[in-house]
Amino acid sequence: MRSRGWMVLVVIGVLVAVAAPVGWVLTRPARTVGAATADALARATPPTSAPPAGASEVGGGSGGSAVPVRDGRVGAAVPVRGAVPVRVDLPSLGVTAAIRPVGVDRSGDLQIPADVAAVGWYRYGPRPGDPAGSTALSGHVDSAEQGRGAFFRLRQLRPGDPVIVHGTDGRTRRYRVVAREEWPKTKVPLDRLFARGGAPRLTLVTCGGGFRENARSYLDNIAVTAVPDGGP
Amino acid sequence: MKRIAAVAVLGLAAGLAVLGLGGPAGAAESASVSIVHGIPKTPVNVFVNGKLTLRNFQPGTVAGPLSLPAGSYQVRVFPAANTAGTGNPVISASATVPAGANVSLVAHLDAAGKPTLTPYVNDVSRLAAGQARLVVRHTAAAPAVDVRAGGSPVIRGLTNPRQQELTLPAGSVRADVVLAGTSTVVIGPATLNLAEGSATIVYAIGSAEQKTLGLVVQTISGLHSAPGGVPAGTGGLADDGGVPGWLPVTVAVGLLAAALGAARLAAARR
Repeated sequence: MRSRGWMVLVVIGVLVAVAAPVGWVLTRPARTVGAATADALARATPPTSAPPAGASEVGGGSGGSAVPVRDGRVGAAVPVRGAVPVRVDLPSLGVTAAIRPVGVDRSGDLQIPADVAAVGWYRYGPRPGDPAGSTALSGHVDSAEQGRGAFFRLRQLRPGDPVIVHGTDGRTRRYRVVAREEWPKTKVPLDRLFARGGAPRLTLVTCGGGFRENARSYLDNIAVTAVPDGGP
Repeated sequence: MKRIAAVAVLGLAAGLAVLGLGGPAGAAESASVSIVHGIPKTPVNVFVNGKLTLRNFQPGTVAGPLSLPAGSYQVRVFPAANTAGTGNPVISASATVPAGANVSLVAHLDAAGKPTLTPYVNDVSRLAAGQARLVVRHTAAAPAVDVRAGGSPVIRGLTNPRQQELTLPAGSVRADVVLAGTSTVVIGPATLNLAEGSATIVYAIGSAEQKTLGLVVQTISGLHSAPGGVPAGTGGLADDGGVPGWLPVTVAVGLLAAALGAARLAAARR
């Protein structure tokens, strides 16, 4: 009778030692959801894109009225685009952050605002409200000096969550999350995240995954894709 | 303007051989063709293969891009009043359009002030993120010039119909055109907006003698590249690469319990 008790302890001990890692692996939240949707958005042809310049017009005898002609004078009006974004809200995470326009640093990497509470907008790419392409916002997950960043909990966003972007035009543009993806930094589809074509969408980017202490750098990038509410 | 009104039928076979540089990559692949009007004070009609393609095409404007099947095209330019396309053209030339190329056909004055058509194959190679391409083409009846940006020469000794190109950080540039080796300004200054990921092609047009020198700008976008990476964290607070702390502890407790039970079992059997 005594030995049966010890037998039970052996069984329970082994079960705990096996079940804990198995359970951890199985219940971890998926790192990537909606990747196929994000891919499809990048390949989509926006309905409002300009009709293809008509090759058939030449020799078609239509009088040539279909050939687009632009003013080539210096300072000629450039088509007005969407609005410059100034603030982003992630209500499901209780986050609101100021947006600063950013470009690239000397090594060609994206600039991230020095203030970890702020979010950068890639100013060479599409603006919110543009008819096509990925409006890219990037924020620190954290920094060694300032702690948690605006996008610290970005990986907790889930499909359906709202994202709200405020523009200099005073308009508020609402998006909803359709995908969250994570890749090792060497495999990030940067051309897709910063695409100027495809369906109009918002892409939020930060760091994630494991952390390399000696390089003071994360191993992965996390991107959340959101589409205009009522959009595709 | 007498010269311009005068008929100039130009063979241009040699000049158009430039187009061959791109090399035909396959007959099915179309070329992208823009037409630039760089002859001041002369609205025209442009006939391509005998069809009126551009009606009342104004100086200083850029038409296109047209997607054209590779091949040879006859281009005839008439004064805007002539919609029939008969009689003496201002320019008559045949242009070979190579497959897959991006081409600008530029109606302009040669160094002597005669209307001519020069084809340029545009450099549409990709630019690094944050960069812009500036191409300057001398298509004016004027001597050699330098182009200055922010007061210092960036292009020297450019002559009609040659071109030079630069890669610069995107942004605004204050530029002017001076007689080569001098500080005698003949065009500008003008503020050029060099859009990121785009080629800004600036044509110096007109005639020095007639005091009609000026600039025409053509832009080719879509030459951008994505940034090289997104370095957005240096703290390690969000590190989720490792195993959570509770996991090895739980496993160790389980194994210890099992070992204890096994030891007691073994002792009991002895």
